[in-house]
Amino acid sequence: MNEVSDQPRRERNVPPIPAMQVPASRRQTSEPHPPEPVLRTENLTIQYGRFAAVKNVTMEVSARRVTAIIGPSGCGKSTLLRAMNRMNDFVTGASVEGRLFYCGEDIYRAGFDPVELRLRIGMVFQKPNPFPKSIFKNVAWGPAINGFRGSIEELVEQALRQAALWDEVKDKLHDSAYALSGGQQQRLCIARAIAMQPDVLLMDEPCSALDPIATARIEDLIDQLKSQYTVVLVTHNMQQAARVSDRTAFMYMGELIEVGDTAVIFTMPGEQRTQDYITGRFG
Amino acid sequence: MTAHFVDLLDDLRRRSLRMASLVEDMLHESCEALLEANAGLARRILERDRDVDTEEVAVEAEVIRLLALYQPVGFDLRLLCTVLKVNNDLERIADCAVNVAERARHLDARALTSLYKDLEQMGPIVKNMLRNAVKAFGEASVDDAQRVFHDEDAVDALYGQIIRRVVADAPASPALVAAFLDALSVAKNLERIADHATNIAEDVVYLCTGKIVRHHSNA
Amino acid sequence: MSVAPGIFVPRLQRRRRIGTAVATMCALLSLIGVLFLGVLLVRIGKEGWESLTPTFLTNFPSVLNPEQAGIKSALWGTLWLTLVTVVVSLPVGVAAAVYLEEFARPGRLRWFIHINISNLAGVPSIVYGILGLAMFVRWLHLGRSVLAGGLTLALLVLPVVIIASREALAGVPKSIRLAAYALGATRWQTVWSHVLPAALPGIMTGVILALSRAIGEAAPLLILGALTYVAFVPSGPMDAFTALPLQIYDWIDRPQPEFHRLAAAGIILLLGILLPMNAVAIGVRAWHQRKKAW
Repeated sequence: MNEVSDQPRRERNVPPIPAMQVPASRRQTSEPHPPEPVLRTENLTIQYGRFAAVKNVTMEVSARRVTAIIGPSGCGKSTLLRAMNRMNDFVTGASVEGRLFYCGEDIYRAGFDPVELRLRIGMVFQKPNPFPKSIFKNVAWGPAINGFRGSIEELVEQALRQAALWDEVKDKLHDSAYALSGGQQQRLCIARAIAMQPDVLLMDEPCSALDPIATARIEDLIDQLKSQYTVVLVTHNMQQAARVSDRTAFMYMGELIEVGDTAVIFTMPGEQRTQDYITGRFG
Repeated sequence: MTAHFVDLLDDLRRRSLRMASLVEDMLHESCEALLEANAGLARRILERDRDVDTEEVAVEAEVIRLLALYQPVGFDLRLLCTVLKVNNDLERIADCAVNVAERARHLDARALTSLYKDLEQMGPIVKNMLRNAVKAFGEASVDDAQRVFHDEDAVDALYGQIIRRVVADAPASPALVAAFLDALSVAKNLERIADHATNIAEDVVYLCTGKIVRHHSNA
Repeated sequence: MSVAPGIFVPRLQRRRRIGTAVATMCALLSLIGVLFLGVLLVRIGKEGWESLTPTFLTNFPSVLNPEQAGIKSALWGTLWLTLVTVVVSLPVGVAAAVYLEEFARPGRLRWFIHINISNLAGVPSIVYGILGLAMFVRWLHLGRSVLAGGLTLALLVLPVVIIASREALAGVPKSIRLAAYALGATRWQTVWSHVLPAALPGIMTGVILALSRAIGEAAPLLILGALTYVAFVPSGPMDAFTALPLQIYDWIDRPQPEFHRLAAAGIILLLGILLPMNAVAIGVRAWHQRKKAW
């Protein structure tokens, strides 16, 4: 059932997202466009030792949109992304000033439990990193250790379907995850993340280790996912940001230069530095 | 790759400006041909038009090629779109100039004294509009574009005046009806040229500011 | 085929000849080691082969009658010792490695502990014997028992187990841990579910190699006071014992050549245990190298 079938370039055989039965307790709001931005930073500064990787960044991430963060290498976009689910805690010497709010709560205040935060904010990494276990166990492990009550098999199937991987692996769920190709492994990592039914999905250059066809499939996937999840995507590929995101933020040398609707950023950027970067004059 | 693309963009811009100056010359000469009834000049203009047509096709092909291969964004994208539209307008202007030149072959405008004065007035204003429009395009200058908008009303007024004179005077001199009709055609073409020059100016405003000012009043 | 004339003087023939000469020399030198080992094995084999009979394995050693002597007590003593050593050193060593690698915060203290453990791995085994004598035999009143001997050997191999386990744990890529954390796992859940299982082959290799060292040790057991003439099999951890290396040492020490043949047989037996153990350890390591996908 392909509506957009006048695309001879690549097959459009990605099935539509089946509606997921999300328990009411896991969702804060049920309105389609909640007024409070789901993530918000306020003068956020992150330092590794004496080097300031992120300087005084204030921005918002809207719910159920794809927000892309672009910028040259070393501009701090991955650091900013990792701050959102407190994965910077695992980098030695990282210190954070300023505030980062998730659904109104400052996640860096004393006493806040980062483990619980990561139940709601999932992450997909640059290089696919499935566990050295079977495909099934990869997807099922997260929910299992968090006391999932319900049918694990159904959850695994649902997550794999949402990640557009089910048809390819349904006959070999108990094979090793390492037997899959790079693009399939990355989709498995996405399935693993969304099996936790998070509110927000953080993606750190998810396609940079993949070939163009695998990249295209994952971009299609992100497009479908945004109807249910808030996605924050870091990418160094500007065309990808342009294709996939609704809002784009441009960072340079740790500072947030400009943020706005993607179409506006790419046709009529307000800042000269943004203009120079997107037209390839530097970076 | 980007340095190469920047060079290609510059080349394209220069090419477009060369075509613009060719078209400006055509307009200048066709006005002269009209007012001095110079048939030889008129023939030359017809040849130039062929060059303009070829160039128009070539520029459009180059724009499409750059869009496909380099996927430009931001100012570069707006520039390419502007080149495409200005290209089109210039070719129409050239066609209008050719029409004027063709009328010039048959028309002895001096016979229509009052009309001659109006046409004599209209010519320079339209030429000036085109000059400013091309200057605005070449320098990406909003100020020059604004000057084009100022002259638009004057041209429209003159055109209205010419129509009224034709309607009033033609029935009185039936032998000159052909001449009146030719003069009217010339005026119409000049007014079209002014319109296209205005379009070019509007495109330049879009290029510089990203705002689309067509179909609004340009106060 | 000629290179661009004038700018290079490659002298490829000469370089190839030098390369071949060096490779040949390295091969010869490595063969020397193998050669000596081969000579040793052949000599021992010739000397002890006839004494290696089934009765050799089931008889107790006899001072008076070399034809009837056997190695049963030493064999069982060694097995008991190995059991105690494994039971003690494996959990303690792996737990220490897990703590140092996964939980301790990197800093002065951790580095200090690491340095000390590395040093301990190089301490001569006889020092461990003295330590065992003072601590286990005397202070804890365990006497000259299998337990004391096994604990001493466990102490001896503990640094090796810790270091090998730490390396195995460190060899698990950080990306797997990060993936687990990103799913809302605690540190312990990550270690238990992912890091330990992935490091298991490396840990096993380290433990097997450590054990094979322990089996071959004679000096600390001598200090501990393990008996050299024992005509019974230990029936519990508090019993006295002897071990294969000790029995071999005892037989070599006798003047009669018959005992020397028995010693040679004992050596063959010892090697027959150690070499397969090492082979298994190396095999596990090689299999793991091939199979792991990172």
